Amino acid sequence: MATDDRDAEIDDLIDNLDRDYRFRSGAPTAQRPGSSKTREYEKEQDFAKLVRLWISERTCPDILPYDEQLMNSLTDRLREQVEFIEMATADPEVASQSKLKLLLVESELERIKFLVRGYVRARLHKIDKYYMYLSTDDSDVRQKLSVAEQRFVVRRATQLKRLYDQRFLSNFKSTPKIQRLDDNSPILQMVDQPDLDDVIFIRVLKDIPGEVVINKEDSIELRKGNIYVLPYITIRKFIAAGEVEFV
Amino acid sequence: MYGDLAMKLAQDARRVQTLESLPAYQVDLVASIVREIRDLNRDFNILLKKQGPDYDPRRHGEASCALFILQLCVQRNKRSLLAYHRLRAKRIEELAWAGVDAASAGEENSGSGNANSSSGAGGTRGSTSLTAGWHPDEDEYFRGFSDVLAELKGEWTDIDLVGPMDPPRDLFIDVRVLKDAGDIQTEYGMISLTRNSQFYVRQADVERLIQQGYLLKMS
Repeated sequence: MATDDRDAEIDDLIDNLDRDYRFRSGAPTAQRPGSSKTREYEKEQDFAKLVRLWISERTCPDILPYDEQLMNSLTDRLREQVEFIEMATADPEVASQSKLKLLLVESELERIKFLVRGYVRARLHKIDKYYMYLSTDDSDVRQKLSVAEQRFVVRRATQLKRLYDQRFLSNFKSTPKIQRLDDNSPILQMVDQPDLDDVIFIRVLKDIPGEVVINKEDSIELRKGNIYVLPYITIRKFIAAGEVEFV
Repeated sequence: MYGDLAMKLAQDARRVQTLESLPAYQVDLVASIVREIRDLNRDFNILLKKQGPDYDPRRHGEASCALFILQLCVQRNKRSLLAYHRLRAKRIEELAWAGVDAASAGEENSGSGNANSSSGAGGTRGSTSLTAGWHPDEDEYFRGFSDVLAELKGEWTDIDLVGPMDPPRDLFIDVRVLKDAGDIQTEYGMISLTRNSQFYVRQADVERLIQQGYLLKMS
């Protein structure tokens, strides 16, 4: 009995550590400088995070907050790798000796690039689709985007507006109402918004106390390890808290 | 009848969806719809003025009904215009994403530009150019949008933003040369890409050429 309890305790400790790592992004380096093992660990964690991020962004109907820190460290590391490859291939002797290693590094590089590209493009796809909605002054919405993405929204909106103006909108100068592109009356919604009621597949990472209300009639209990199909809006806050993940 | 022209435009837009390249821009139709909107709007204002200062929509049912219909027609026309232009703009954006060169697309079109503006909705049939049906403003939009994209790509130079969206399998691939593409420098030396020859090269080195249709990736 006693050993069982201790095992459970240790498991808990490890779980906690893991979770700490996942949520305290970036901080560990400052506290544990230099150790190559933590650096390795971080790299693995970053990779796992990237895969998560890529899956989440592709399945989530809304735009998720941009993970600037992860993206920066990844692009830095990509550059390091490219430099490493260049250095190694520049020296014919080293190149012939470590050909296989280089091939592996390069394959890995292409894979990471693919994931980052997938992530960025998935975001851009949604950003492009909902650019009107994203050009609001609502800071909550805006701060989900990176600086480059915000600039993209503004610039693409200007371009399209200019095309409309040139072709027909400028003819209605006397009636600003007709010129408007963001009418949001209940009869006619001109601004496309992410559909938060869209259903998605999720996996529960942590038991969630109480029941989650889906609609007037239904509510559901979310148990750890189970997979559910639910409207995004009902589990949005658990996604943000990391208690539930996209599948 | 009001809305007929807009209907025609909507039908044209629907046809666009199934076509490979954009058909000729409907200059005349768009202009007529713009005119119709202005007429409707003028009628609306006249009618509203006629009602005098103490107009109450609830008491003057007849007038408010007429006003409502006029307004609906204006809205519908506007929506058709927006939909038509947005749809075309989307197709133009796709080309920009696919990496069609802004400069060359513009040049191609300047040749058929005269025919385009004079014949208007008549179209420039027989031209194989992708941009033949574009309105000059759409050419400009294409260039503008390409600039926006170029800036975005500059932000992500490390990952080749417009690269392939399939997961990478092999570093090296077999390609066949479809069009002469000159010499390219790779880290394994110079390769000269002459038509119908076949090479085993690094995918990353030739990605752009595959997209532009110079090379064919063999599976």
